[in-house]
Amino acid sequence: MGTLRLLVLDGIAQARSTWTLLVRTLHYILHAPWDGPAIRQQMFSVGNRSVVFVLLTLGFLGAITSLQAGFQARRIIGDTSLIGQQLLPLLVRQLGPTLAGLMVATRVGTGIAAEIGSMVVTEQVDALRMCNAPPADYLIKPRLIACVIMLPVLVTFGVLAAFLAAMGVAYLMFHTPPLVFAKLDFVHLLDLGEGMAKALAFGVSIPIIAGAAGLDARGGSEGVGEATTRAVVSCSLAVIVLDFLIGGVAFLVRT
Amino acid sequence: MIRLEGVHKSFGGVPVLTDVSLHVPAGGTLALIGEGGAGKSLILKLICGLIEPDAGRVIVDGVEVNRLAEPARMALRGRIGMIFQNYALFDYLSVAENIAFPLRRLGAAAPRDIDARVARRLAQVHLPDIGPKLPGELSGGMKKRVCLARATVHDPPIMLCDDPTAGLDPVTTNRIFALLKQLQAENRATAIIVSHEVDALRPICDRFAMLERGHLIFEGTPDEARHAAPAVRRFMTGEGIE
Repeated sequence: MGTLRLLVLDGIAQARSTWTLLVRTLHYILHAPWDGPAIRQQMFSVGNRSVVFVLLTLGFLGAITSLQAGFQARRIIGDTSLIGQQLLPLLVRQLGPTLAGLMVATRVGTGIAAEIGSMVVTEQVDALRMCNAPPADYLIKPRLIACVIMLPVLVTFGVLAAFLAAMGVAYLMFHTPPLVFAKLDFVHLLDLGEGMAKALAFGVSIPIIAGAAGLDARGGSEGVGEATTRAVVSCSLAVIVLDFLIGGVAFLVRT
Repeated sequence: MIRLEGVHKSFGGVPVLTDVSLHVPAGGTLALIGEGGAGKSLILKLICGLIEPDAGRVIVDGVEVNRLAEPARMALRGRIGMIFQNYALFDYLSVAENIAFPLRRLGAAAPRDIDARVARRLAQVHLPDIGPKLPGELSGGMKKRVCLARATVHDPPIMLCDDPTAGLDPVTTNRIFALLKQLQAENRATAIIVSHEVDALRPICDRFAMLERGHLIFEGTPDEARHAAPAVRRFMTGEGIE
């Protein structure tokens, strides 16, 4: 019971520090000058360094989904021509953003928490605060802007990779012509909007949650390790929960 | 002027500072001594407003730090040069960029003057050629001198030094204290120096204060320490240690 109480209190404290960091970062985004080189550097780190990871993951996911869907379609209805039409909306609004979000949460979220956490335990964050460089402005803001710009880009590339891989598998395994597979009729503007809304929401949540975990790091390398673990768990959880919430809102809009 | 009045601070229910009151007049230099974990570094962070006291008041130049809103607190921090115990050099920036950092962020120098001021300060700490190096390439003594250069490059009227000679050899220790004294005299700064090097502190500090397990057990001149409690005399002179 005592452990549960501590866990709940810890969760509340984490949620509060994450919320405070979000509000402060938004304040600095609106009221302080933007550091162009720092944002470009973070965009490179978030986007360019994650793109191969995201392309591979989503490419294989597209291939596997196409393979499994093709087997089932051939077994049940004997026709594999509808796989592409069914798969593309699913990729655009659901699998693409969620998988890309989870990949970025794993790669970028841990990096942010580890980097900021080690700055905290070596007093570099205190030194920043002494130089009129609050962490929300100097450390979090460029990462947030970079993630908000690069997540939709990564999702777009990821969805394309998944769809092309799925199309290749459908052609090789079930002889479905690419022009038949790649029918875009079933993708609506709302699907695109849902996918992009998720990408943007993940772009905001991942750097804030990971940054808050890093700023809460205490002690030495053990504290940094704990902060990194907390960041990847919380970011992944946030991606799943936001995916569900935004998906639910989109469903209500559709109906 | 720095004043602490009845300051209390606990972490996780464990008291770290208990009813600490201190006063450092403008231009004065206080040596803060005591065993590890006595709360010395915490006092420096309370003065900067990096940590909030649970009770009591921290006053810097007539302003109560813990009542300041964040923008005013940032402005106050800009008037303080702090040397951190763990160097706290930004490891992704070169030495020159580290020293230029407060000048840029605080707007303490025109952009065209920054390089010259950095070069001058590096020469003052006897490290004129290391500007392009990264902190990871430096020895402990060099890092401390770079720390000193960064903390004082904007000529702050208040200097807080957290164990500026920890782990250094006696020659480097004396060199750093001499530099501290020189820079403090140039800026007529109010200074608090946390250190265990009592003999090296004597020539540069007007007063000593000693903490023991979060309690202030002595504040006075080095001469007054001779008549203080045995714990103070033992720490100051080493007498009575077997």
